[in-house]
Amino acid sequence: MRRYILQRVLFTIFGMIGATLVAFLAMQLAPGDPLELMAGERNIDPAVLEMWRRHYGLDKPLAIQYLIFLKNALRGDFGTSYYYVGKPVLEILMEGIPVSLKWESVGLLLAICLAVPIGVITALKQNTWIDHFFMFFALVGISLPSFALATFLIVGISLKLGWLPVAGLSTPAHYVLPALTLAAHPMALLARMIRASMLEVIRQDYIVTARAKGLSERVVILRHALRNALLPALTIVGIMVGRIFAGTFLIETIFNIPGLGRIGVTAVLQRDYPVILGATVLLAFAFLLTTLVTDILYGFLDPRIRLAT
Amino acid sequence: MGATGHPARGQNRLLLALGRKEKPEAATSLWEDAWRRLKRNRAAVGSMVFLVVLVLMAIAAPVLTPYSPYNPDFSATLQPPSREHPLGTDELGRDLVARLLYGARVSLAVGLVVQITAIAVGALLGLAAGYFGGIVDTVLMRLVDIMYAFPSFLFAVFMVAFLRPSPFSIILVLVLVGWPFPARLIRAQVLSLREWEFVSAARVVGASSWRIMTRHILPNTLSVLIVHFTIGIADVIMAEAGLSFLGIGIRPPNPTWGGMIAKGREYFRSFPHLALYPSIALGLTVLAFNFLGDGLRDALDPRLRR
Repeated sequence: MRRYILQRVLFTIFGMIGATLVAFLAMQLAPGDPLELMAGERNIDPAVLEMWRRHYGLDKPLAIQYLIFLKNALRGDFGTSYYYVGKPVLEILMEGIPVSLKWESVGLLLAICLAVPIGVITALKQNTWIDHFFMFFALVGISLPSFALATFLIVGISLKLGWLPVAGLSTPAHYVLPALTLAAHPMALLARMIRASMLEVIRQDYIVTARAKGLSERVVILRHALRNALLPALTIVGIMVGRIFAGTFLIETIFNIPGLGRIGVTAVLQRDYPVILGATVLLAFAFLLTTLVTDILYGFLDPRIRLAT
Repeated sequence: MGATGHPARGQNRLLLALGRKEKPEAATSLWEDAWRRLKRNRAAVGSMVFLVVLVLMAIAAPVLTPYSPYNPDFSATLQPPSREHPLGTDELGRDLVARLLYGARVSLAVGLVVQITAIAVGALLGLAAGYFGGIVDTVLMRLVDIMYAFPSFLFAVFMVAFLRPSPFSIILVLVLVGWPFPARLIRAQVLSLREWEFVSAARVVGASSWRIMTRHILPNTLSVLIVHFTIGIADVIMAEAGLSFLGIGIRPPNPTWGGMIAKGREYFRSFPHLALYPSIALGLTVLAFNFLGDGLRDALDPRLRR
């Protein structure tokens, strides 16, 4: 187990270094001199520009710049915004993080709470209309782009029926549509996954044994079958969390939510490179860390994994 | 079609990809066999018909609509559906049907170009990694790992920020995020294929590495590639629409479905149809490519699972 964890941790560190390296190199591709971008339309004294150059370490060789960037990034220091000159990037990002975390966790919870019963029921009722009905919607949920789904929900539920507010996050009712939009894709994936592993599990000998012992159907399904069926689903939850980070761009934009995703998109539109870089590195780190946690959790839950390595 | 004597057949329609086994049929070629299986899949056939019609309509756009998707007509802004404008007009008085048709051109063209390029690059690198092994394999696969460390859409948004805005940049970025998956797919295929006797046989008769890779191994990975190509187009179209929706993809006034949804969002309250129609077009197209891809997978190799 220790070796397995070590291996996963090393992979995560490798991924983080890769992510920062790619991000840093992409920065170098950016058209225009960062100092010109900082100056923007303003007329700034060349002496001040020279001072900025030294202050930001832009006079040093690329490799040194990368190491400085890495050192600072590890301390959460992503420099200052080009657009809001002088404002630390971290400060800008911190405004969005709690907002994103709040509505996204609602979405994630919603996905899990709906997917588990759907997965179990469709497996138990395999090939009935209930199964076909839910699995058809699962396929639609997997295929439909989130912002198209958001449009349907907004037009149908908010505008035609008037049940829920369209944009923002001011009341609990505001959370429903964005959370639902976010939940659709992972929920569909998860439900399919749970259904598949349930179908496999309920044909196993130990389920037959449990039934033969005279256990009630409820106990057999919940205690014996579901527990084992949930295992493979855990990886999907890990992937879900990863996708959530990327999904925030679109969903926060369409629902006007001032979270990390919209901050990132605004920064892209303003060509505010330090903020873009900070947001990307942060999201990539979050993604890698959730993957790590999922992998380790998986190792704990499934002895076959840790023994294999 | 009628009864085929195979109890599971009728259930294939929803593509539940579970616990199904196809029996080998009479000796026919792989492609004839696959086509027969595909024809039985109603969702896949329906999707194929839809996509063919869509492609034809996109090509014939100038014939199908007298309106330009670019030129504003300020005497006819935000009109409801009418005889002249079957789906109404947008905030600049442009006909929505024209915008949707020309938008389909963008979506389909980007989808095709990106998928073809990404698969060509990915397949080539995957072939090399799997065939040569060693350092080539290590370097390429670590590169793939790095790309996998980000969610791809996040990476695309990030990359777009650093390139000059143009359709070419969008295609480049989407290829950049698109090649690792086929590379890994092909590598895995090659690893198992190169142990086969036909590869040793080719080597024994003196075929070059290039010839073995392109003439012997590649054709055997074709069915996997076709499935990935079809489903991957859906992802590319979604990604392009997503970028255009965010305002960092293909720029206005070019008609793109994502851009139309973004613009329509501003008129949600009074004119929801502006965002609704492109959403429907996008949703149906993506769904069709997914259905067709699923159907192809079942038809080409019943053992494959998502």
